[in-house]
Amino acid sequence: MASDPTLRVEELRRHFPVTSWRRFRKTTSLVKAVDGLSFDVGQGETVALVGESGCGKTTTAKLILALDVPTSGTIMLGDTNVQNLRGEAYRHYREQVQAVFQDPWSSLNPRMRVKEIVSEPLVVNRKRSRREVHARVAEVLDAVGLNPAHADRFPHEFSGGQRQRIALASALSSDPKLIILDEPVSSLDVSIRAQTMNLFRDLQGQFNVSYLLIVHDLAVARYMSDEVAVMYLGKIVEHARTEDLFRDPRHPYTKALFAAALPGHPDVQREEIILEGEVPSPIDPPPGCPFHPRCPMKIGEICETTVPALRTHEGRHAVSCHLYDEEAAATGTAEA
Amino acid sequence: MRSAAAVQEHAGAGVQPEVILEVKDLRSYLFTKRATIKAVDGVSFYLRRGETLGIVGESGSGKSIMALSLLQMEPKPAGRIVGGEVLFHGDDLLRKSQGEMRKVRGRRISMILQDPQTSLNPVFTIGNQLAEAFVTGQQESGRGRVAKAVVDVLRKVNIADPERRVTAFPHQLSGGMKQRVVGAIAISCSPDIVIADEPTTSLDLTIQAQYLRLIKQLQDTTGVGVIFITHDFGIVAKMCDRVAVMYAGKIVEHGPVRSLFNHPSHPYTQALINSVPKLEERTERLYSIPGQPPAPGQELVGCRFAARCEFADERCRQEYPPQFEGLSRESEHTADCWRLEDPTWRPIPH
Amino acid sequence: MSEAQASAVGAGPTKARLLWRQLRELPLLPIAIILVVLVIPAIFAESLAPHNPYSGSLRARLQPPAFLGGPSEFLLGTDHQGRDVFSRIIFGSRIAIAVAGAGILIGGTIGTTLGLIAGYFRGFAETVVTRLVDLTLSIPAILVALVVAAAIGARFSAVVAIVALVLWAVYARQVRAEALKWAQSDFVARARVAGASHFRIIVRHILPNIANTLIVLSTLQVGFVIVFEGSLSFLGVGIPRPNPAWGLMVADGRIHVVSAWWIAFFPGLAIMLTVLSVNMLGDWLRDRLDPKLTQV
Repeated sequence: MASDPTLRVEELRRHFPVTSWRRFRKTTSLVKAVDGLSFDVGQGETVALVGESGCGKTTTAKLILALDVPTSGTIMLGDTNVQNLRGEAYRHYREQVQAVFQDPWSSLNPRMRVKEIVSEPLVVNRKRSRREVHARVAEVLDAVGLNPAHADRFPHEFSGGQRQRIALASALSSDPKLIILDEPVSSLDVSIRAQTMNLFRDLQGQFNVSYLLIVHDLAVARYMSDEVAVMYLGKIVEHARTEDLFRDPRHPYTKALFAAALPGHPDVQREEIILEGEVPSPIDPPPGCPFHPRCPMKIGEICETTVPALRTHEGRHAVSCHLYDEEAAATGTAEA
Repeated sequence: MRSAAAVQEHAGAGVQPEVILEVKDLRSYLFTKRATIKAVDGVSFYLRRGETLGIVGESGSGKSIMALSLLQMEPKPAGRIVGGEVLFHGDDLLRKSQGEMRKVRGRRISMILQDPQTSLNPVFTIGNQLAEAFVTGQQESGRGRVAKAVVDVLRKVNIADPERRVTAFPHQLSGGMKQRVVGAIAISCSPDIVIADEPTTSLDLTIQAQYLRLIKQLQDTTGVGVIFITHDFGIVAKMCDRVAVMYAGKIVEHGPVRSLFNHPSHPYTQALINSVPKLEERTERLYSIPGQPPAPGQELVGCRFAARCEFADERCRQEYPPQFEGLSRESEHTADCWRLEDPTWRPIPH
Repeated sequence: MSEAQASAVGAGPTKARLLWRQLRELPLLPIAIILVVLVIPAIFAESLAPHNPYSGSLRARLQPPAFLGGPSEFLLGTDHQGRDVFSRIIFGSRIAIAVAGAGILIGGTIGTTLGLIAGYFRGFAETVVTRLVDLTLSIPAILVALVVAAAIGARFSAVVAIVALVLWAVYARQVRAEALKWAQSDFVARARVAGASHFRIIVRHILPNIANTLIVLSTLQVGFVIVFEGSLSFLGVGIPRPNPAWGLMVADGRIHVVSAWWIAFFPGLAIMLTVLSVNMLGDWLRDRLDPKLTQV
């Protein structure tokens, strides 16, 4: 990865104070939705954030999309800091970062024509000629496999898969550097998912755009991404290049996720790891490793008291777990 | 991984458990002002005691309407069952009156729906709702006995601390717990069959794993038969003994799960399996099925999949293919496709 | 709605046939009544009314309707000042439309604007608006009317002002709830990500989607306004005499209700028919425009 990353997130935190009426609106607890997140997204690459509900992936997306303000930490797009953007810099950021959301039915304004939806990122940020807008709309609609002549139609005249394509066309129209894909195929019919995923992959090369993919389906993550970061309670517990992660998952939670995922064939042999208990809520998480209450491989007291650092091992495979700290300390191969 | 009954059979006992449900040529249509939608258009399958059958289909395939039709619960006012038989222990459920059906629903055959939010009444405690299930099912009477039965069944679905939980309201429970309470209500009257329509769609991955394990446990202990309605081949691979694949109101392929995965014989089945990304291996490129499922209400002639099938010819478009049996040397593996006239043919994509 | 259902419309019938089919689905009775009782008289009042609604001869006072034995020139009889009831009803339709139209327009605009601000921005604005709404809806409208009438006298503008003061809160409450819902949609989030300003989002994304609600709400308010105007006139704080406002006619006919019942009865019938048919139209519109009810 010689060139600079498109997106760099460092020690990102988003805490929501919960106030209590009874105690005169004092902060009684803290929802630590995102709690110390650091990762990069390279140019033209796809990084997947994988996790269950409450892990903070949606909040992370909102922070990067500047729909919410972080409690602390930095988000850098190229060499622009996302915080406190004003005027020209703000508009430029809006053009550079776009999103495609999960639900194709609520993602498009039912009262707007497709051409207006697709051109919105173009027209709100700077003055463009009608001809320029028209040409770009036709170009992106064609790129996503839709007929530009249909640009005058309304969203309800299209199927779910086509609506996701319209959303993608809209995201591509301002030639962004980064598109956040939030569960982009989960609401689509199974037979439509494949063509949509293929489209995302093809257009990434054509438009040289990076994707941050937020997904719960591990197989989709494997198919679409170059790197995967596994999140739990607002932290990254494991992060590696996709093939490395899937060949050699290390963190106990990652292993449990893999064991829980549905098999592709009845004869697939899996280690049976069933986690007890509920998916945790990020309100006042326990001290120490966030996973220790459910971890089948808990070592002991150290897990309850100390948050394991995210240590990078060979091959850029990072894990946040004391098991590997000890091993690494023993063999002396850990890097900070 | 399979139910106790099926495992026993597999172990070479040779004797299959009896068939307790047999559906023959079920037809259930939706009559709307615009058009008549043939949601379920001649569907046949069967279920043995203790077995798990998976019905796989996408939205629009008719699988949910079919599940509802089995219990005469087709959506009103548009829905109407127009033909076929649903033989439960030899007794045709479609000939029964609503009063007689009430004795079957929830007691002999129960149903779990997709959304636990709407399955549970938000204004009653879960203890209350379970008690009602027991009382209307006439399984128990007398407050003491009912209360004990409620706690017992909560324990059976692995809800910790059941004595305390009975006073909880649905909104106080997580998604996974709600779905387990729904499951508890479903098994409260020890039914012969549980029909589960996409029960895990809204659940997180690890919670889904717990839930599926629970269903297997319940099957092992009670021998209940399960019909899984799903769009996910993964659920089928993990949970089912046999599979039926539905497309546009018809079952296009049917067989034991291994046989179907190893030798998918209908082009749609093959295409669907190939278009799903795999967790266990790296996929270079997914196969994507061209076109779209047929619009409901469209009058269809011939094979329903012909318009999207790369192996289709003129006859496929004009005449609906017959059922071919004995695929992959399993007499129970069948598929409806004209290409199978050639017994060595398999849908290998180009 | 599944993918398959979304593309269910076939290429079959011609445009003309589709139009005819849609026309047949219209609620014809309410529309006919509204046309006959309200719209046509208002437009063609001068041609349709046989007599001057303002002047009458005292010799012809309290005459019964023609079909009950009275003079044939007075179809529905005359009132206590000898004026033709039929002509007054025809001209009264203009007042009904004017009051309802102006009141709903002004009250609706104010209410919608405040509701949008409250629902979209939330926070302090929302608190202020909701409190004001609660306050407005809890004060009896008649009291407000009396105060306003005392301040600026009973006239057309006073009635419109009172109507607007009462109606704005109804709009604000409904619009705030809808704006709240729509503001959480994915497409609004995408518009913000695209860089759209708050103003643009409110006007181009939220407002068009609540248009249906506004239409239905307005039709249902028409009935309320007409009856309300009647009550105001009844109390003497509405449209001033000698204007032929229907409510005023009912008020004036009160004393004669036993002997010359037609003075109050026919304007009252006009009010009832109008309110009934407008409400029926409003209900039909609401069912027709509700997206949830059109799904299979």
